[in-house]
Amino acid sequence: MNTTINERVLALVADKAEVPPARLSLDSTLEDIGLDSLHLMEIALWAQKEYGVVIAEGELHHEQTLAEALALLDARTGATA
Amino acid sequence: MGRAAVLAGVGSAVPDRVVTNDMYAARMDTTDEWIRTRTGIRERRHLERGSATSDLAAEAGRRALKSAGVGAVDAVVLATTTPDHPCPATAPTVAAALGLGTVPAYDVGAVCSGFLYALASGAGLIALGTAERVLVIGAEAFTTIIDQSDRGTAPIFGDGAGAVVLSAGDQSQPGALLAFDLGSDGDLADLIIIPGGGSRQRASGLPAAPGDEYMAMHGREVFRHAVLRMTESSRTVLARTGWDVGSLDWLVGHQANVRILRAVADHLGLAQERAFVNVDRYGNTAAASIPLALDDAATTGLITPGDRIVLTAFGGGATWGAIALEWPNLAVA
Repeated sequence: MNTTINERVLALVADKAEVPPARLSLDSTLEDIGLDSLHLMEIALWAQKEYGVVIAEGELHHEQTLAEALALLDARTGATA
Repeated sequence: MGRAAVLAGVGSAVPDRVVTNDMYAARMDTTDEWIRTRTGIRERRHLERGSATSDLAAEAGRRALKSAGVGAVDAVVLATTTPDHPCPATAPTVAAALGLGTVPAYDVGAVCSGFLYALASGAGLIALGTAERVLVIGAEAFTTIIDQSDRGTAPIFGDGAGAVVLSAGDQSQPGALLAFDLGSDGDLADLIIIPGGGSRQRASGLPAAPGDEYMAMHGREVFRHAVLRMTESSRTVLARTGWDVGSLDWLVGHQANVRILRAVADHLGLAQERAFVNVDRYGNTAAASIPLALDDAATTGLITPGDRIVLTAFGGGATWGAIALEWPNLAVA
């Protein structure tokens, strides 16, 4: 896992869910964290802007845990520290 | 400097009837909080029964002519998705209602990007020398094509109109339309569509399926394409004017959703507060939203003479565009 992108995604998720990053649980689903469908699209667009990858609609979804979402973004962006 | 189309007047008109989020919550499975957090919309206006697009268009046009201090124009260009009738176009009705005589008058259809396309068309008439002055209007009775029982679309849209007068001038004048970028992608036609009522359905020999007379929208994909296209188009006109994004005073984007506007600002590297927002009060008024926003921003004193402005929109088609100008010293209501 890439630490840099994980930290950036966690900060982004915390900002969107309006909770302190320390309160985020990796085992929580994106829905339980409080992200709506447009938040997921905003995160996908952020990944496109920052890393040039297109995350298709549905790749990020509400039933995913935060850990799964981090793994997906890590794998898809292929970012290096 | 070269001949240019220069903004010489602005006006708008909205129906009196205010429809709040709570009014939707009272009759469908939604809440004020749900609508606000996903769209930024608090209320919108609905046309009075018996009124139509041309009524709003004529009122906005009248105010724009007054702002410009003129009583005559050489052409009327109307951007609308909701003409009074499928045939004929609505612009001649508006021209007649305004007593503008037998000037050329036509509709432009590019849904939510329509006003930018209409501005380009009006500026083209001026560039050709066909017109010295053009009334460009964006007007919608958009609620007439929305299923008012659909919680996914009903709370989003509203009715309204805005208009500007373009006059022949030169590029050094404040108000000159300095750079244009327009685009479309017909492969995305299904993103925002009214399936029935057009030649595709009529020529099939089959009646329209129930509900096919209403607009359907793939919200999340529209969100994605809107953010990317509005960002790219804005960048294009910034490059053409040579303006640094940091020198931009206002991004006046199509008022579809406050989260789209914030995302576009973010992608452009523009401070959030530079993105003008009035979608909270009017909802998405499609082709009317940009001139309605301009009139609102000018009337309330947010936009002041000399401000560098980029207008940008994304809409059905798919279509998109951006136009750059420096705000002129206009008389506003």
